[in-house]
Amino acid sequence: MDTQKVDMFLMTSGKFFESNQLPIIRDRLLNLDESKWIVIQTMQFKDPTTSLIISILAGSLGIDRFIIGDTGLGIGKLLTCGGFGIWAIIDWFMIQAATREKNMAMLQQVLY
Amino acid sequence: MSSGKFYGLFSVFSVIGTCWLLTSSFLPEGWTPCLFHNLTGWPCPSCGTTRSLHAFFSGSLGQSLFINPLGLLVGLAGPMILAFTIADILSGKQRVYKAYLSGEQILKQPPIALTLGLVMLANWIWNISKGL
Repeated sequence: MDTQKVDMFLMTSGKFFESNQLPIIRDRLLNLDESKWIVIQTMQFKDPTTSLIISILAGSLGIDRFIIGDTGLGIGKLLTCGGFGIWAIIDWFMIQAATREKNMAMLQQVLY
Repeated sequence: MSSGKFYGLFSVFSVIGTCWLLTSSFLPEGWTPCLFHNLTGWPCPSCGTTRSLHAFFSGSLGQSLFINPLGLLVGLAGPMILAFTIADILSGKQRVYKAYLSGEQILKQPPIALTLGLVMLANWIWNISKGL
C-alpha cells in the first residue's frame, strides 16, 4: 500500500491503538494489498477516551464493557454491582487499554 | 479473551463471590459495596442479588424471586457453571469457555440484546419501586 496513505491512516487513527503496536501496523499496512484500503478506511474503531468517560459514569453497570464488545464481562460486571465496586474502579484504569486491544483485534482481521 | 485468562478470571470471581456470600450476612445492616447505590442513593439493576441468593439457598424461592430475579438466576446457573468450570480445569477441556464465546455471539444479536436490555430496565424500575 502507498506510504502516504498508510501514514495518513496512522495520523488519524493512531490514538485507537497502543503506541508500541503502531510500527507493526505500519509494516503490515505497507505490505497490504491496495484493495483492502477501502475496508480499512471504513472500519469504525472505538474511542478509548469515550470508553473512559462511560466507565467513570456507568462503569458499575458494566456499560463500558458492553460498548467495547465484551458482553460476557459486561454481564458479569452488571450482576455484581461493578464487581463490588472494585472492578468498576480498576476498569477506570484498564478500559482504555482494553478498548485499544479490541481495536487491534478488529484491525488484525483485515491485516492477517 | 484467551481461554487461560477466562478460566483465571472465572476462578478469581468464583472465590471472591463465594467469600462474599459467606461473609455478607455479618456486615452492618444497609451497608453495600455498590458504587452506584452509594453515589446516587438509588438501587442499581442488580441490587438485592446477595439477599436474593441468601433467600434462594435457604429454600425461599418465592422470596428470592421477589427480592431480585437475578439472584434466582445466579443461584440456579452459578453452581452449575462452577461445577463445569472445575471439571474443565481438571480434564483440560474447554466446554465452559466455548459456551461463553458462543453465548457472547448470541447476546450480541440486536433483537436479543434489545430484549434483555428492556428486561433489565424493567427489573431496575421494579428495584427502585421496591426501595431495595
